[in-house]
Formats: sequence, C-alpha cells, structure tokens
Amino acid sequence: MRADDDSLRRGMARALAGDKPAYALVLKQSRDWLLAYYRRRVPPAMIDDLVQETLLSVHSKRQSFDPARPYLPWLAAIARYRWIDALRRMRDTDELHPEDIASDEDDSPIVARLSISRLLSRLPARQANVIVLTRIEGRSVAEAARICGQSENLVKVNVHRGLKKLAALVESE
Amino acid sequence: MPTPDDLIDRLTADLEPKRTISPWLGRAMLGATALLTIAVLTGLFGMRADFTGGRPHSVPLMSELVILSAGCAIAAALTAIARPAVGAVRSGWQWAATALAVLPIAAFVTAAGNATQRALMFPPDGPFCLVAGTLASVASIALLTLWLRRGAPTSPELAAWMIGISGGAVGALAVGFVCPSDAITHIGVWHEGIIVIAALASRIVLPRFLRW
Repeated sequence: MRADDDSLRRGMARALAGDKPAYALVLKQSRDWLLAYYRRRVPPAMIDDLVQETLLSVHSKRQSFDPARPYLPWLAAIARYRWIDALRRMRDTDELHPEDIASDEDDSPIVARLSISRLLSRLPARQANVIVLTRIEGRSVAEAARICGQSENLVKVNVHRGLKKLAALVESE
Repeated sequence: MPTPDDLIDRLTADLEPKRTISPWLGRAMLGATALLTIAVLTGLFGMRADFTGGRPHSVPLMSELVILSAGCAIAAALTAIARPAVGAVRSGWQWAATALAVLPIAAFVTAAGNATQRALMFPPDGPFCLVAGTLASVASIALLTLWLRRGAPTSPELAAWMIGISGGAVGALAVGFVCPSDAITHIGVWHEGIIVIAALASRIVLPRFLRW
C-alpha cells in the first residue's frame, strides 16, 4: 500500500496517544517508504540495516513529531540523518566491507549508483575516483593507488576527506 | 539483527503514550533560566546604578537590547530544530548571529580612532566580566542541551553552535546588568567575548551529547 502523508500523520498522532494498531501501520508504511528511499542512495547490502536503524530512531524520537505538520518530511529528515551517519561510519572505517559493494541482483544498484554519482560529481575528481574504486567497486587501497597514480596514504586521505565532504553535501541538501 | 517485521512487532509492543516536545516550553524554560541567572548575578554583585535608578545609559542599554533580541531569535531557531523536517528553511538564526557582531565591530571602529576608548578596551575589570558571564552561561547551556536531547536535531554540530550562542547571550545579558562600564569598547570585547567562548566550547564539547 502506498504511503499517503495525511493518513500517516493522523496515524502517528494516534500512535503518540498509545494506539498500537495505528502505530504498526505507520511503521509498516514507513518501512516501505524507507526501502524506496535508501534503494536510491546506498548499496543494497546496507539497505536493511539502515531501514531498521531508522525505524528504531522513529520509535525513540517519536516525541519530536509535530502532529500538526506532515509526516513524510519528518521521516525523511530522520532517514537523511541515519544516511549521513552511515556515510560517517564508512569514512571512519579503514577496512573495506564486501557487503557494502553493490550486487547485480536487481536494478537498485544502478539507481543507487546514479544518485551517488550525482553527489560524487560535486567532489574533486581525485576524491571521487578513489571513493568509487574503494567503496563502490570494492578494490583494495593498493589497487586504487595504482590505478589513480596516488600513493596509498593519499588514497586513504582522499577517501576520508571525500566521504566527509559527501556527508556535508547530503546534510546541506 | 531481527527482520524489519520482527522489529516492527517489538516496537509496537513497546509503544507507550508520549507527549510531543514543545519548542514553546523550551523557550519558556530558557527565559526562566535567564531571569534566574540575572537575579543570581545581581544578587551577588549588585545591579548597575543607572539601571536601578531607571535612567540607563544609552550604550549599555542598547547593547543589552541587541544581545537580548539576537539571543531570542537564535534560541527560537534552536528550539525549532528539535522537530526536524526536510524542506524547512531555518536560516534566520544566521542573521541574528550576524547582528551580534555589531557590538565588537562598533568597539573596534571606535577604538581605532579614539585613544581614550582604546584604553577602555582593556580595563582591569574586563576579565571579571568575561569569567562571570561565561560561568553564568553554563546553566542555560546545560538546560538547552538536556532539552534538545529529547528532540531530534539532525545536525549536532549546528545545534551545538546555536546552544553556545544562546547560552552565551544569556551570560552576556546577565553580566550587562552588573558591569558598571558604559564603554562600547569594553562591552564589544569583554561581554561579546562571553558569547564567543561559550559558542566555541559548546561546539567542541556538545555534539557527542546531541547525537542519537
């Protein structure tokens, strides 16, 4: 069922008063909306974790929802916060995680890639290239260094700085 | 990690009624803390004579009003970010923060062309104002931090800046009631310095407490 903002807003208002069936429906519709949201933004292996983290945040921060205002912009703000948090975690992790790499199971990696490409185009090429090589294509730092003609240390620095800038770009959008 | 459906079942079972966070309550609590801070400081050091006599000098009065109005605008924006929403435009606080720069700019311009005012820029009681005002801002900063932790600020760094400026404005406002100086060079440097210190300290310390 497609999420309709007004019914979600009313459902969340009832949930704040303790209505469990209304809350379950809001969470299920939020889950579907979040799946579509993250499919366009992150590699498939990260989607489930991010959806669950966002649902946990919705639950723990539900008192910050204003029932007089639309629900989806509030949910989107929380989803974006969790996305930025995931980008920061990627930045702070030196090792690569194979599960972060996009698969060919469906078209979502392509969509995710398009969205990420839009953001990457706003970074300096030296940073964007090493992020694509190490975080999206899953190559090692040594391979990325050889391909880009940068030292391994410089690749690490550029990945770190690029992901930091990426998080700032997402935050400012 | 459980499946999303398991998680939804668990969260639904955990549901309890909750009151939504109210920006107006946050503003009222900050207002009460500011009044209490002013009362404590004037109780300890005494209110400046021209304020108690009802004949305030124009420079400190105007400075207090600038700090009060800018502080209110920033505090209003700060309490609004407790309830996030994509697409909400909340850039007004930056103009209010810019307005706070009026006093130090006026101080330095005045000092540049006036040796007497330049001498007043570094009076012996300057550090007292700075220290007393900074300490006076701690209660407001703590209150705003605790209050905002109930909300969902999506940029902890920005929230920390805003908390520091708002809390620092309370400290600067309170110290303005006890400081006897009428010189813009003193107020622009030592009273506004409270806001700068509070903002920088908050930016460094608070983000870790505001993340969720």
